[in-house]
Order: sequence, then structure tokens, then C-alpha cells
Amino acid sequence: MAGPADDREVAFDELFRVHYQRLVRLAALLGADDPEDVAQEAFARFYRKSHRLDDGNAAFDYLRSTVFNLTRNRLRHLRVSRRRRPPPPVDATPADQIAIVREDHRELLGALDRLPRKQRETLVLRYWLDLSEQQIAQMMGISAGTVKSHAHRGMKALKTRLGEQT
Amino acid sequence: MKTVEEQLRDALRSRAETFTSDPAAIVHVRRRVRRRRRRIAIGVIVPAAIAAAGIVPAATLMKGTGESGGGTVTAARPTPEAPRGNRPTLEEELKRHPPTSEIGVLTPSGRASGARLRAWFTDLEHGPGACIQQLDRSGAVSGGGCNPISRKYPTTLLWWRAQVDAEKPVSAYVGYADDRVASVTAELADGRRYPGSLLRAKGYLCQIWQVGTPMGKTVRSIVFKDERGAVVRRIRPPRSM
Repeated sequence: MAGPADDREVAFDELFRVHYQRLVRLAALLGADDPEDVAQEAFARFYRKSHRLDDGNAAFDYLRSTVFNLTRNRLRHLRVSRRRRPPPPVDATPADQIAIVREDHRELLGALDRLPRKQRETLVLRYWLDLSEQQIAQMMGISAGTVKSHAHRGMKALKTRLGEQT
Repeated sequence: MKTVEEQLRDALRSRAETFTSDPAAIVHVRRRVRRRRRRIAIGVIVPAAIAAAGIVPAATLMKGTGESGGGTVTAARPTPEAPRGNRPTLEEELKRHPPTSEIGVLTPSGRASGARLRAWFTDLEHGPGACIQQLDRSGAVSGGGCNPISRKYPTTLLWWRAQVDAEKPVSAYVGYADDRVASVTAELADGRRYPGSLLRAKGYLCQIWQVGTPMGKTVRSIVFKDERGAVVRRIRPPRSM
């Protein structure tokens, strides 16, 4: 007969199967240099607390927030390391960075990448994860009004840049 | 016509689809969990055992001199450079994206430079796709993924790599091209030109191309010509590349 530990393993596997790829993609869209590493770390951290998170929605909220925070920390860490290191001699782009782009979306995604970090994060959470302003505010640790302002400024900047290019 | 909001949704969905995940990822997560449990166990059991045996005073353990028992415990803590997720192997990627064509290998020849690539065609969620993997010197996968084929743009740039490998100061541009294309050339801002290479294999829906350029140099455009030398398409890589 399966015990509580087995049930927990099965539930964890199921959660992993359903959400892993989506969380890898979230980390990638937020700019993580190794999205799989971020998503795996989020699941490893979740595993230790999973007995406290029986509700499926709470589990996904926890994983989503962890991915968001780990990506932010990782980007912050990279920024600080780059500042301490002398500038690279030839190319400022990390050697292992690989960019996959589709022709008809390239200009828009290029403009998105050039937005300030918080505006970019807001737009990814709003238009890819379809989160409400309230949910975004909770995840980013800011007020709903500030989320609204980031989203408005971000969209305005995208429209301006696209308008300039057409 | 689509609003910018709708275009942004499409663009994010499209970009997200290009990120694939390692099918063996659950194994890596379990390994992490086990590793963490071991660290906790070492952190609790080792100092307790050493203290109980009276080998070193408890104060030394807490200080952690580097050579003492305390140093051993310190070294077992996680470091900022935790192990990264592995790239999918050929077998894993083939299982996820079964080929509908032969699997070709594109190695730059003659004057051309660039990366060593492996490519095949597959069926993705919304239509056909091209899977392109970059291989390192040992033949292991070091990057790439599967991308949908656009009907609107039969010749296009898919991705770019700033440096082909740690020892080679070459950047590589990679994409697919329609059957009319007979040559691909990168034109630099300073006027220099670099020839690229094309690959076609049985079952390919179009050709796979790549062109290598000196690392750090701005590429003004990538030019595709047919057999008669007429320009089929000219792509200007985004400034971020």
C-alpha cells in the first residue's frame, strides 16, 4: 500500500510534468541566462516545502514566484560580476548566449528587450502569463498602481519604437 | 490589423516556444534534493561526531579554519556557481521532435567559417519546424533548438551565437533558406565579405544555412543569391546581434 511519502512523490512528479516547461519558458522570457537551471532550482526548493503546499494553485504560485525571484537574483549577480570584471576585449555579449528569433516578431522583441527591467517584467507577466495587476503587484512586491504605470510606459515605448521603424 | 498588445502576445508565445526543456530534468531535480539532504546531514552529523569524539574543541569548528573539521563543513555549503541544467542530447531531442527528414551535419568548408551544426526537420505544434543543434569539439550539443518554419519568410535568420567556441573568435549566424538560394554571404560594416555554407539533405523542407564572421564585428547584412547571382533576399541582423 502506498504511504504518504509515496503520495507526495507522485504529486510532485505530476506537478513537475505539468508545470516544468512553462516555468523554464518564464525564466527564459524574463532574461535568465540558464532558464533550466532556474526552474530546476525552484522545484528543488519547492520539494522541501511541498508538504505545506497541498493546494495545486498555491504550489504553482510558489514555483512561479521562486522562478521570478531566482531569475532576478541571478541577473543582479551577473550585473555585479560584470561591473567588477574589466570589460571584455571584443564582444560584450556572453559567449554562450544564444538568441532564437522569428522574423515577424524580431523588431517587437528587440524593442521589448531594450525596455527597463521592471517594465519588461511587467509586460511578460501581463501578456505571457496573463496575470492580473494584483497578481503582478504581489509577485514584484510593488503596488497595483505601479504595475499599471510600468505596463502603460512599457507599451507606450514599444508603440513609439515600432512606429519609428515602420 | 493586430494591435501592439496582440502582437506582443504572439511574439512572446513564439519566443517561449523556442525554449525546449531537458526531458531528464526531473532526475536533475531529485539529484539536487538528495545533495541538499546530504549537506544538511553532514552539517548536523559531522560536527556532532567530531565534538563527541573530542577531536577538536567546539569553538574551532564554529570558526572553520579551512583545514580543520569546521573547514570541511564550510566547504560543503552551496556555492554561487551551482551545476547547470544539461543540454538535451541528440537522442533526447529526437524523441521529443521525431525527424521527418534525414539528419544532416553542416560543417563549414573552404573559406567559410562558423559552427558545426546538426539539423533535421520535424512537426511542431502549429506546423513544420527546423531543429538545429550546435555541436562542440567533442560532438556534444552546446546549444540550439527547434523553431517553426514561417511561410511568410521562406528565407530567414533564426539565431546567432556571439562566439562559436571558447578558442575560436568567430560569431555564427544560422537560419533556413528556400530552394532558390545558391549562396549566402555576410557583409560587414567595413565592406568585407564572408562566404557562408548551405546544407540540404533528403526530406528537408528547405536549406539550412550558416555564415561565420570575425567576433565583435558589425554585420551590415546577410545576402542570399540564386545561381545567376541575383539577390533573393537581404537580411539586416538586429543591432543587438
